[in-house]
Amino acid sequence: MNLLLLVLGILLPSPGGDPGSPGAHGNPEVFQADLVLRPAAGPETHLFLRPGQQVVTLRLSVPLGESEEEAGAGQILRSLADDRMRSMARRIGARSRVSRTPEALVYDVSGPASELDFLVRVLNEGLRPPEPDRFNQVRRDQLAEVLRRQETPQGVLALRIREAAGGSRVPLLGSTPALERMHAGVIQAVWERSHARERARLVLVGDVVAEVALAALADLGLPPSPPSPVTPPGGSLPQPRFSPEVIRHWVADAWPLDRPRDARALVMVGLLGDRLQSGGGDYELGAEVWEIAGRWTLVVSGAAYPRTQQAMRTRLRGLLAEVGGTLSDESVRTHAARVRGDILLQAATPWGLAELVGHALDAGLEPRSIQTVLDDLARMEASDIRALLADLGSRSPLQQEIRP
Amino acid sequence: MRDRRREGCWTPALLVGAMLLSTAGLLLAPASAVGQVPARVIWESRPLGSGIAVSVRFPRGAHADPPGSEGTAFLFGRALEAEGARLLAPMSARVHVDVERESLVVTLFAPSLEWIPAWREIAGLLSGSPLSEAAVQAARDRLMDELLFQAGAPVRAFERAWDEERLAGLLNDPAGNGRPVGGSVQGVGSVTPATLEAWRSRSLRWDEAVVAVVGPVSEAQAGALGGPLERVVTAPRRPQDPASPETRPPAAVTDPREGGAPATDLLPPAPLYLGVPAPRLSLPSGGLRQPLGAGSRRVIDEEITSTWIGVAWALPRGTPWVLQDFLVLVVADALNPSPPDPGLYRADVHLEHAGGIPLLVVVATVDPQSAVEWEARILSTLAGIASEPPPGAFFELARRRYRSSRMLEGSDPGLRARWLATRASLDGGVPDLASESWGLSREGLAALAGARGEPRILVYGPVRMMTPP
Repeated sequence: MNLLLLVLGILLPSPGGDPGSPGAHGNPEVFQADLVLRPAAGPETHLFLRPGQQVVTLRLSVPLGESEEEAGAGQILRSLADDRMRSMARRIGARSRVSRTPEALVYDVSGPASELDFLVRVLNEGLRPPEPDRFNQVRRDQLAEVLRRQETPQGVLALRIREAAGGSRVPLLGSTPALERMHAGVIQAVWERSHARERARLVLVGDVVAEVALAALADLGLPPSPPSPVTPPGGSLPQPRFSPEVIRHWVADAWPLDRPRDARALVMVGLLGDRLQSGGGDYELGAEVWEIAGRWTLVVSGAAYPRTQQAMRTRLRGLLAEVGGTLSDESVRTHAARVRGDILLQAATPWGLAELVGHALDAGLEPRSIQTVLDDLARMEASDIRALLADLGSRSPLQQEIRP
Repeated sequence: MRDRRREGCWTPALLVGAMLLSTAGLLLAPASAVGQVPARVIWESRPLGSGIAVSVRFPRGAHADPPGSEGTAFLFGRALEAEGARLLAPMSARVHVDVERESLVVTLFAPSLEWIPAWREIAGLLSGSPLSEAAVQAARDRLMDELLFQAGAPVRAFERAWDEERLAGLLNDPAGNGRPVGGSVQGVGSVTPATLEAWRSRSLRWDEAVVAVVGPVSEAQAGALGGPLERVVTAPRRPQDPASPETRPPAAVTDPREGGAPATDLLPPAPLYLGVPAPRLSLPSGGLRQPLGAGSRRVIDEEITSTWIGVAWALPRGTPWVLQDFLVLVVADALNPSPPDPGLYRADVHLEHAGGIPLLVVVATVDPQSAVEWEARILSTLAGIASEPPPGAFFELARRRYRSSRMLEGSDPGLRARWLATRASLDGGVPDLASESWGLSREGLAALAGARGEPRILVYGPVRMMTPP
């Protein structure tokens, strides 16, 4: 009987359980929170308890939208908070980062579980109102970054594709008109509108006792809900159309995907990459998956000098057919396995898992959607990619280009 | 997408078949099924990990390269990595190989359901399954390209001279001291598949290997790796007495990285002390041998734009690893000031084992005009720690920084498995960082810095520009 249980344990996923028990090998529960709290006063809290690892990650996100006049305010808040948190975290060797995603401003900090109180303090240092004295320096840096991107064909194509695919008209990095006019009051207003306990979402992964963690987080430095958390309407600023000086033809085709988190797109990028390596030609081609307005979008782009630009266009527009012509179950499984390995490797650290889960939650998805992607990847076959190719082939891609 | 499980692949007949296989030891015997029984297996369970990391350390590396064929071990590692990646591709698994002078460490990361077949593939390659010709050729081509690109680079000449200088008399084979781990154009060019196979069969012996496995692995699975199984269990939670002097926050904190400005308003609250309180870490009793003798100092005049300064001190054998490792952090902090010193481009501090002797090694890249000042600064840093270790609050923060950095590193299962295998192999045991780091003291730190041997120094750069300040 014991032997039979042992065999069942090896072959079938077990729901977590005692590590010492013979069947504990599969982890379908990796992305399932041990505790989810949604108190009226916030923040929404997802606890992933990892006893024995002795480390904890706190990832807090606040939804952040910007009007056209505020474009870039989130990046300035990010930069100011990042410096504050790093300066404090390095005192004890903790790891901290503030990042801006399309949905939110994200603060994360990791360190030994025994330092939980101080890690909360580091988090609070990031969450406090922006300091006006460093505003101008950070604004100038951000403006320089935007100008740098607008000078490159890649940056401008990305902006145009995002706009054509229904993404926000407010660039995530900011816009020159908004940043040139921005003053410290705008940053303060965006902070007051967005940073509130009720709006925040916290993902905690680590070796903590739930009650102790919740007690430590009771002092989270966020005010209650603001009077009006809604992003104000914009539209009064002129939106310049950028035309960078180029010596090559730059082309991009994009297909927004209908299914949320369609794992086939990730495999398709790998298959396209195989074709691009084997094709040759005096031009550059690339394939990526972007997230635009909450949807994954497959983007294929290319650059070529005038004498080879026609060949590049022909190749680019025939790439999907090329993939279809060389498709095999083996190539699909190999790429699916690689992507699955990437996701599992990221989930192996507390901060990687917190980022995967937090990003899904911020996009309005449940954490189990990550497991769904993994399951889809594990089962993926050539027929699934053929179905995607047929779907993409039946639609006209969004097309953008920049000519010399 | 079809769900193969739902289509009835796991039928009762297959289960019975699997049971029979299990009875034969095949499903649960990832390594021993092909005859490899390591000397030890270290097992750390992480029940909710997303995958499993396995690391194996063999105590032979580039030092075992045949004369005239330097780079054999390194090329073997590269080819193994390439062949392993090819074999593991369908399993979502990764393999990484580190070759050093006295070790070869292979680390695998694989999803829970695939780690056994993945490990079997890697163990097979380590035990004699032939590496494909394509993998060897591709690895050789890449390595040769790198070596040709680096040929004549001053940094390679410095590394070679530095190896000869600091390792003199420490390794069994004096001729091997200056052999570059990554090989040379001539050395790698002379390696044949037969050389690689001969190196493998001579150097990779499972009865000398230590395996560490970290992740959601059962005891039965870990035990089936072969060899005596040792479980790493983290110390139980037990907060110390809050009245203990150890748990009181420091009275005043200033951060030397911020120019010594008072920072009492940012005083970190005292950490919660977990685990069994550790005894203070101290030096081993008995005489402290000075394996580097009277030390040495060599200057190589080379017309280049930077100066490299290498300094190595032997540390007493048997010193607790946590104490040695903490000294590395304290020295690195002292040599990398914030804001940065304009004369310093980079200062790397690390521990090295050579012939069983721990060495504290500093390699600094500096502006030649600051070379004299920096050489003195490196030497005085150690002397300063010995005579006056960081005072209370500084010490407390340094200890917490050390603890954080090591614990964060250990949360990556691959790095943790590699570290477990290395420590068990070199020191015989695995320190409990969470507990032992509380046993670090100013006295222990000062004693260790004071027990350092005489330094071996190499200065490599344009002598005419290296004038005293």
